[in-house]
Parts: sequence; C-alpha cells; structure tokens
Amino acid sequence: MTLSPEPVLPPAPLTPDSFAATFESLAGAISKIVVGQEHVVEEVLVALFAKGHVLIEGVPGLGKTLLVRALSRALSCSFKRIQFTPDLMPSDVTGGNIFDSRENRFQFVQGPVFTQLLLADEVNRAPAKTQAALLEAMQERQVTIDGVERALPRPFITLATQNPIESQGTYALPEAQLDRFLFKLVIKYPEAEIEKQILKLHLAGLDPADFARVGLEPVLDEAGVLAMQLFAESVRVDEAVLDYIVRLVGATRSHRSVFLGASPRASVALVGASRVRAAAEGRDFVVPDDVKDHAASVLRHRLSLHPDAELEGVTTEDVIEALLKEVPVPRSAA
Amino acid sequence: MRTSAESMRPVGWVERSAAHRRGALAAGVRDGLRYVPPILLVALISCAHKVPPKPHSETVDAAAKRVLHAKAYLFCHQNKLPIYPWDQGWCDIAKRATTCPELVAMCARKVPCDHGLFSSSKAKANACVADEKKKPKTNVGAGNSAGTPWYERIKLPGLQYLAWIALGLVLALVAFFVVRAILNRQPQVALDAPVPGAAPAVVAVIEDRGLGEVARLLRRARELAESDVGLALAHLYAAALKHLEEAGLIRWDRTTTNREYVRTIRGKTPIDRPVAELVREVERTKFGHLAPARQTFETLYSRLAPALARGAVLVLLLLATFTSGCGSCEGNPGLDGHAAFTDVLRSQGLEVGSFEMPIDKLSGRDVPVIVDSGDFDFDATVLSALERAMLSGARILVLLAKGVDLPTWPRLKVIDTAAGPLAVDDALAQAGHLPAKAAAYLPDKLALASPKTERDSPEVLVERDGKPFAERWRSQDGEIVFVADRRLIQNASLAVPGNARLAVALAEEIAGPKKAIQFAELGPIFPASSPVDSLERAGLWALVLQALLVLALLVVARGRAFGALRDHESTTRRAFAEHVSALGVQLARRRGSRLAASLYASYALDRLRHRASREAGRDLDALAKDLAPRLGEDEGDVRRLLNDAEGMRMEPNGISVPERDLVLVRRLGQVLWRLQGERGAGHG
Repeated sequence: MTLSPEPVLPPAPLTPDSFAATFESLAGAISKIVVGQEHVVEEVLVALFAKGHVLIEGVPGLGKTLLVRALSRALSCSFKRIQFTPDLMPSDVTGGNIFDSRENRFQFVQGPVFTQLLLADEVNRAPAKTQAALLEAMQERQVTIDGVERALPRPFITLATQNPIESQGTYALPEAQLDRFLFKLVIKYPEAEIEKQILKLHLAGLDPADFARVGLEPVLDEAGVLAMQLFAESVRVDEAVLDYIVRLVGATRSHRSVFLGASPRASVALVGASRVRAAAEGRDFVVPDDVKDHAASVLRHRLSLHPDAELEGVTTEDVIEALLKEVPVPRSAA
Repeated sequence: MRTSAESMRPVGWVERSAAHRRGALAAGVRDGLRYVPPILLVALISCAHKVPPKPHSETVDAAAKRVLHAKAYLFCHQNKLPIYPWDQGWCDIAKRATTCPELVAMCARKVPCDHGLFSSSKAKANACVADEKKKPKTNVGAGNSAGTPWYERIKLPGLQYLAWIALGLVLALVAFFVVRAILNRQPQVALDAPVPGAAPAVVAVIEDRGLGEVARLLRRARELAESDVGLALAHLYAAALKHLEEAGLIRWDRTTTNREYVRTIRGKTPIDRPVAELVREVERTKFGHLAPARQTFETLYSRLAPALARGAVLVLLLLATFTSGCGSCEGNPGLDGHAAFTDVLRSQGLEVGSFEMPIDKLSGRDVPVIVDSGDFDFDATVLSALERAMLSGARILVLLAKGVDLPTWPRLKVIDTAAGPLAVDDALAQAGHLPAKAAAYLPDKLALASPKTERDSPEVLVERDGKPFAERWRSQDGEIVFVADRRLIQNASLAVPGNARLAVALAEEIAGPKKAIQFAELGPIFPASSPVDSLERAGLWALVLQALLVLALLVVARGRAFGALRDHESTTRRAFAEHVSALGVQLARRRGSRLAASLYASYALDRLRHRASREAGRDLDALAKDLAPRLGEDEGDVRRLLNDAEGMRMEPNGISVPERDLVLVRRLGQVLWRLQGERGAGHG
C-alpha cells in the first residue's frame, strides 16, 4: 500500500466543528466508492475513532472488502488482509519465530496482524482456534508470541467480514470474540437505483488498486486519526445519559426472549460510540439520540436468544427495538 | 453538575426544580381559577338557550304579548316580508291580531312571481306580483325581493346551509393563511441579537386569558426567564411539545428523544426550525452543562410563542363553532311555528320538553304529550299507537288539521262549519279563566264530526256552532283531547287575544297537576329509504354540516397530519412450514444434523415395520428380505440401509456429518415414498 506523503487535513487543533467537518469529508470520500452504504461507512468511521472493531455480515459481493480498501486509502494507513479458511493456522495470523540458519537463532516474522487496518475476510470460515488468535490483538492491541508481547501499530482496527451463519462451511464465532467487536453491521442487497450507480462507477473505471482514478484521495493520516480518537474521549457524557445506557443494556439481561444479555463491555462500547457520534455532529456532549443510534450495532451480536424465541421468528433486532421502546430516555430538564 | 438522583429522574413534559415545586400548589390553584371564566363563558353560551325562563304571575295575554314582542318573531316586526301562499290564511284574522300589527302590512305584500314557488299560473295570478311596477304601494316597505336578503332568495332551503358553510370555510381559510403568513415571517433578530423589548401582543392576550396548558407553560417560561433561563427554555420546549401533540404532529412518548420529535415534524409545520434550535439549546443546557444566554431564550420565545398561542385560539374557535348558530333552536319562530306557544306555556309555570322517542313508544309513564298532526303522516298506525298509549295511561293533546278524516278509531273527521264563537266547557272555562264564549279566532272555521255510539262517548270541551271543536276521550287512566284546528297553538294564532288563553287552557288540562308537557318530535318507526332520508327524518343535517365544518377547520389547522393513518403493529402468525424451516436452521446452527437424522430414522423404521409383513417382525434381516423384492433392490443394499438407520437411531448424540446424515434421510424418504406408492396402487 502506498502511503500518501501529505494528508489533506491537519489533525490539530480539534474542535467539535472541525471534528465534524473532518468526519463528514472522510465519510463523503469513502461513499464515493462504496455507493449506497452511507450508514455502514459512518458506523465504520465511528468504530475507528472509538477504537473499536467491526464485524460486517453480508453475503459475498456486497462491497465489504471494497469498503475496507477505500477506508485505508482515505486514511493513509497501512492495510492487510487475511482470507480466513478452514486450514488457516493461528501463526498465519500473528506471525512467529522462525529459525534463521545463517544467524543460528530464531527470528520473529510479523504476521499480517501487524498493520493498522486489518481485514479479516470471511472470519467465520476458520475454526475457533484460529479465530481466537485475534482475541488478544483486538482487545489488547498486542500479540504475545513465545512469551514476548509485541505491540501493534496505532491506530489499529479490525474489520472482519462474515457470511451469514446459515451458509455452508462456516463456524460460529465464540461469544468472547463477538463481544470484542464494537459493532456488528449487516449489509443487505442494494436497491435497484443504487446498483445502477455501482454499475456506472465500474463503467467509469473503478479499480480497487487505483482509487485515485475515481477521485478518492487521502483525507487523514494516522496522526489525525489518533488526534480524533483522543478528542472523542473528551466528549462529555451526562450522568442521565450514563444511566440511560445502563438501563438499556441492563434491560437486555431481563428480556424474556434473551438467553444471554449484553455485558458491561457493551455499555462501554455504547458510551464510546455515542461520544464519537456526538463529536461527528459537532457537539462536545452526548445526547440520548447518540445512544439510540448505535444501540442496534452495539448490541445485536452480543445477545443470545432463547431457542424458542428464535423458533418464533424473534430476532435480536426485534428485541433491541422493543427495548428502545420500553426504556425511557432522559429528557430536557435544565 | 447535578446529583445523580436528581439528574436521572425520568420526567414528563418538564422536570421541575425544587424552587418551582414549592409554589406548585398555589400556582395550580391560581391557574385553575384562570380557567374558570372561559369555561363559564363557553358553558353559558351553549346552555343559555336551554335555560327555561322563571315562571311569573303574568296573564296569558300579557305573556303572549311579551313573547311575540321578541325580534325573532319577524312576522310581528318585519315590515319588508311578503306573505307566502301557504300563509295567506292568516290574513283572515290579521285585523284581529292586535299583538302583531305588522301582520296586516305583511298580508298586503305578495311574493314576486319569479320566486319559483308557484306551480300553476292561476296560483301565480292570485298570489304574486309580476314585477316591480305592479307591486302595491304601501307605506311599509319599498320592494319585495329588494328587501329580502340574498340567501333567503335561494330556492332550495338546503343551499342556505351550504352557503353558510362555504362562507365559513372561506373565512377560516383566509384567517389561516393570514396567521400562517405572520408565523412564517422571519424574525428581524438573529439568535445572538439583543433582547426584544416586549413579547408579541397575541402572547399577552393568551397569557391574560389563561387559555390551556400551552399558554400556562409559556407564561411559566416567561416568569422563569428572570431567574433560571435553562428552566425557562425547558418550559418553552414543553409548550412546543404540547402544541405539536395537540396539532397531531407528534405523539408524546417517554421513549422518544427530542431529536426524534424534530425529525418527525420536519417540513410539516412552520415552527420546525425554531423547535430544532430550541432542542439544541435545551440539550446544550441539559447534557452539555452549558448555561444558556437570556437573549437566546428571548429570541426563541419570540419565534415560537405566537405559533404556540395559535393552538389556544384554535381551541376557542372550535368551541365557538360547536356552540354557535344554535341560539334559537327551540321551535320555529315563523307564522306556523310553536316557539311562542312554548314560551307562553313556560310563562304559566309549565315545564315544556320534547318527546324524542317514536310515538309508538309513548306510554302512561311519560309526561303528557302534544301531538301536532301536521308533523306526522297521521294514519291508522299513528292512531293505533295513540290509542295504545291512552290505554296505558298516557295523556295526549292531538291537534288535527283541515281535511283530516280518521275512518278508524276515533272515527273523527274535521269539517268546515259556520262561523261562530267557540263555546267552552264550564270546567275548562273556570280553570283557564276563559269566558263561556271564548273570543278565539282562527283562519278556518273547523269542527269535529263523528258518529257517536254507546261505546264512544267523548266529552266535549269546546264546541262551535253546536259541533265539537275539542273533545276528550278517556280510558281508565289516560286521555286524549282532539282539537279540530292545529293552528290554535301556532305563533300567529297567539297574536289574537283569546287564542292564547284557549290554547294554554287545553294544554294545562292535559298537563295535569304535574304541570309538565312535551311536544312529540318523531312519528312511528318506518325504515328510511336512504341515508339522506334518515338524516332528514332525524333532523341531523345541521349537525352533520356543522361536524363537516369542524373537520374542515381541523384539516386546515393540522394540515396533512390530520387523519393520517398510523402504523400499527402487525401480529401475523407464522406458517407451519416456517416453523419447520426455523427448526431446521436451529439444528443446522447447532450442528444438529445427527439428531435430526436419528429422529427421522426412528420414524422411518417404524413406518417400514408397519408396512412389512407380520412375519418380518422386528428383525432387520427379515425386514430387508421382505422389503427388497417390493422395492426391486438388492437385499444387501436394503439390509445396509436398515442397519445404518438403526445405528443412527441408537446414537443420536454421535458426531454430525451433515452430508452423510442428509444422504441417509433422503434414502429413507425415497423408500417410504415408493412403498406408499405401492400401497396406493394396491388399493386401486
């Protein structure tokens, strides 16, 4: 991947307005390539600035890989891709110590996880052992090999794609790993009009290896990303909003259709995502709408439903929607 | 920063501070008192015409004179009205109608011939004037049609309602567009501009009158702006929400966020942008802990308050619509109406009401009733109903009309007779302060004629020229008084001194000691021929048109949101096939193909044994030997299949190999299907 020598937008000093402007230009640039998926693009950016990871679910051919490639181009960050297969080994992900016969010692060879943007393509095609290799990288942003901890470059974000669970040859991701994804996004087939725009884009010569040809230029560099991540952490969260988040996440644990509710990590994720959303809208404080906007993305992969509820056709989206209609929001009180 | 408990408290329209709550009781009482005047006003308007006047000690003649003195009785006062053909009979007694001297002048005028009221040329020649030049020159008015309002010259009576409705709609639309234009006018000050000097006048008006929750919140916001701008903004926002909910644009819900409201109203109301700015400021205060500027409040207040106050005005408008136009609904004040008679009866202490049930529902338990034959198709059905009512104890005064002929009971006929004074029964004369020879004059000289028998022995109350004018029929408890001329109780009749006394005396005779009487409003029940006929019979046209006017006003006020269908939660049931599919998905997710195959193998083996010969029993080898020739397959293959199925049945918890499991299930299914076909063929 060729890095852009001079990013367009300087990272500092940041204000809510400049954060929002940068966010908007970044989303706009990527949406030029990933047509009709504006919501997904925004969610991915929110996860990026919230220091989270994203699990994207959708059938092949909906532009998941294109999205990550376009993101890496717009961010001027390093990008690597791992195609998960049933015979993929953990060391294929993390790297390992290889004996150098000339030096007569073991030398560490980095795996593809040592990057800033990691695309774990079709992550549910690998067995659990290999999937678990990503756990430490995603949570600690480091990997431990032969007792040696090796830090990953910053920023680091994993964008994993998976096919729907009903597809043949897939392995369900373990709950522990699912919980480490900030968001789970679902990409559906585009509407006819959007698909037509995609065709026009390809007629214009879209080439994932040469985004400059279709006008996608770098918008931000890694320093800018880190600065925006830092700014997002300064966004104020009122106690009433915190209470709302706690009540919302807590409600998932007592819902009649839910077998396993969301963990406190989900609450943390919701706070982080809401902060970025607030900053992206030019605010330095979180409002309940920020929480509501991200509730589905944060919670949908963290809930396990009772089998009888699933048999009745209840989905996690149904449960989340019902909870959003049950839990009162904090309102305007001065 | 607020304390946790305080800031986390769920709120309704607005959270109130401790200082605010301290004066809540006093403020509530004060606010409640402010609502009293408008409520009383509306109540008085709607009820005024229903309040009966207090009985006093005036004589019947004086009461009739006082009643007809009211401007509503135009025939007594209007000097420009012509006399219509069907009313010309009254002209015969006009000179005796000393209470209404204008009746003479009225009889001197005729309707113009182009009025459209005349069906024949002969009638036209007698009852109308051809043009202005032929009009009789009287000293009471210049012209006929020139003096008649335009709406009264419309030929079809129903069009008058439509004309008024159309006029009202036009006025309402004009008012709406004017108000909207005012609201859409952008304020001259920006958000950070200096504080405006004073709130708009309309706000002051609404505040002063204390109309509704919105106005109360606005007033409270204005008060709080002096001390706590943040709380004032919250009140202003609460007023906006209340207004939007009343306008049908939002549905307030505790799980709906402020910005969701903003998105909901976007493009649907002129105040969508000010509300969005208000929400931003409110949330900056609440969640951003930023102190709002006073000038921000003033700017938003000046932009929002007039629009919010409009809602209160609308409420008044609707109330006025409901209560207006009904000030004189109790009777017709025309020449042939009963309104004056009703008032005169009340002046004599009688309680007058309406019997609004079909006449066949009348019984002895009801208050005595006056039945005007002109209001009914007076046929055998009605008479039968009246007779039944009388036998059950009802007391009824029936006023007949010229031409009435009743061949069945009571076999009465209204006939013309020679002119002569009405001779009143002694008892009636005494009770009604009437002379034995009543000085009553009616246009027609009518009397009753009936063949008397032993069984029919009515009591004559009033007679004319030796023939009964009013006679009473009694049963054990009830009674009916038949009066020959229904005009006796009509408004114009009361203009003749003496008529009123006779009419009141007859009514009091029927009313009895309870001094209560009611007019029958409905005839017997017959199915309406059409919805229009139904409305016509029920007298609901005015109400329907008024309701349409209200709907039109609501549409104008609320715009597209009014009457819009709302989504409702569908409660569809899943089909059995969907359940099976979902179950299959569940099994596939949990690597449960082995379990599924095991269950199916159990089922298949059971069915195969059922269909095999009895000699086969439970032995798989024997079963294979029995099935192989029937299936046309090698016995070894069949034995292998059965062994696999038995193994699958015995170990449902083994390792799942979806492809292998599926092959077995399909193979068993094919065998079952073929055997089923064989069985079907065997059965022919």
